[in-house]
Amino acid sequence: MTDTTTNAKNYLIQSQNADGGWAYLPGRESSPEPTIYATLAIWSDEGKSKRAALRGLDWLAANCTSNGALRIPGHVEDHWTSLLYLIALIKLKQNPTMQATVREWALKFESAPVNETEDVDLNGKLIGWGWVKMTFGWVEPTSYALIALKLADRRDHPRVAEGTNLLLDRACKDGGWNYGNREVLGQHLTSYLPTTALAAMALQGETDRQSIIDKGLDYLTREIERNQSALNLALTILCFDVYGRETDKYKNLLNARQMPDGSWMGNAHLTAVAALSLDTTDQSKIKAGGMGNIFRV
Amino acid sequence: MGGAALRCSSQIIHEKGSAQVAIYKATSYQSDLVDIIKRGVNDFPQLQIKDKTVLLKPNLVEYFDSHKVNTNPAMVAAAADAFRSLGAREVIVAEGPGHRRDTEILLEQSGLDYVIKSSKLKFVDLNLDDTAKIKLPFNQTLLHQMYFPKTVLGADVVVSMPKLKTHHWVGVTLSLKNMFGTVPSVIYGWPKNVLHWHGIESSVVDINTALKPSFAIIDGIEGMEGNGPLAGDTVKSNVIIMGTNLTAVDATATRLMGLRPEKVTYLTMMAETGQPLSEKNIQQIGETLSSCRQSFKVLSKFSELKSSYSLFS
Repeated sequence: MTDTTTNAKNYLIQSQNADGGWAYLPGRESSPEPTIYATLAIWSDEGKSKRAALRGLDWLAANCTSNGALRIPGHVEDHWTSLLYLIALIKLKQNPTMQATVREWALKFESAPVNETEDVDLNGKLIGWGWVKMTFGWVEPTSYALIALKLADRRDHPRVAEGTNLLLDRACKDGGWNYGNREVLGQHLTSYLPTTALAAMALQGETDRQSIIDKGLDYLTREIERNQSALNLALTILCFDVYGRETDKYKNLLNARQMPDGSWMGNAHLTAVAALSLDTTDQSKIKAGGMGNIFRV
Repeated sequence: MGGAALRCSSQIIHEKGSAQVAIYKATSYQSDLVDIIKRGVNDFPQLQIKDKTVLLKPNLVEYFDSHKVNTNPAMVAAAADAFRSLGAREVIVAEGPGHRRDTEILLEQSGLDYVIKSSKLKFVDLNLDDTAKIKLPFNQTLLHQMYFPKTVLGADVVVSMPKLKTHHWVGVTLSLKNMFGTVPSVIYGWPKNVLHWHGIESSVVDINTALKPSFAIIDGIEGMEGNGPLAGDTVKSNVIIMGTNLTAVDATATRLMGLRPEKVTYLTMMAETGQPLSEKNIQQIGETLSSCRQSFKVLSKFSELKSSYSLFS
């Protein structure tokens, strides 16, 4: 396993753009999400790894507005990855002032409600977090927000309670979560692995909802047997690690999908998430003072 | 400042121009699809392929064992072969799935991954591409501008390759609606809710008038009726519909489904931008519409879409 993460980190270091950020794919422009994950993935090692990570952190800071929002360079719109940025700053123990600013942005970034209709079975009045300002709330950004705010000691904030209710409202009949619609025009929709893993991790600490969380974990256990992409495996590992379920089998499967260049699919975001899932759930590294699971609150 | 509204409250649609649409029979995905597509492209000599970069944009949104949702990979393989044999400098397959972030699993499950690898094609996940801001000429969404992938903007020929399907929010989903997949989710999310929030019909108009796709190839060998675009029933329609004017292609496809294009809001809105919609302005070549027409089932809320052919057949 050590060679896998070493090779992944080497891939990330050599694929860093000249501006200090990372793109999703080689030869592309730097973007917040791969930069956040790559910075997290290579942070804990010293030398060139730490230097590259610090440049990543500088890129993120340079693309963060004074009100705490990350933006894609050249864009004028606040970007949803600000929620991931807050997680990263807290996990890396960086810049408490910036943490506070991004936290306040996260608390102000609201989804918009919709009137309920017969066509879609959900509570449209619940406010969570959307992808874009003042659009509907969805599972993935709401999950990032809940993890971030719990890490930021805002577990008791009313928005966390409402966001939690939103996730609970969107749980699908098969036990998992998809992007955020459980039933449309009378048809029950199927769940997806990544969003189920994120929603389950966002519900950490909601002990009175354990039966719902367990249904999500059971969905992951079933579905990972037949849908073993890199993203599915990485997020399942991170989620199972949080909840104390066995991960070795999935780590081996993820390991086997690594490409000769050290990446997964030549994609820096996927590579970083995969490396984090293998590295930050390694108990020996945690005992030695490592960061630990980035999504553990 | 918004664009002038294109929705028609009256019965009169101010369409303009004329266009040609080709219907070809294809009874299965084992037919000689390369030959069919080449003949279709050659029907439109104004479409220049030699030394051009051609981008194929199939519909890849979900995978279910039970429902034929996506453009069949055989169509994508055939289109790539056809355009290569017609002298394209490069053929790229590109899509930005709207619900799932995990494009890897979608490519594998749908079989498109096999086609991309065996045909040595380049695949671009449009959700993760570099983007550029484009002003919306008709601004029906009131967004004024949108970010689009540079791979799409840089292609010489953009080919929309949808499946022939009904749609539970707008009636039908064909070559125009298929272009939603070019909107990058890294900016707009999974799903691309901003398009629904600002109006699906308005978004269809804004995306297509901004990008101006060059050609449409509709996979109608197996289509979908009823609760499309994901949960409907498969319909064997045995056709491939092609053309350079996507509004005309979609109008023809809608008629072939036994439905009325003048009752599909986004088609009438596209007509108002200066596109042909009525049969008198569309020259039909290849198979006749009457020989291919079917009676697609629609949700009850779309019953007014059904043509007299559908109602009485």
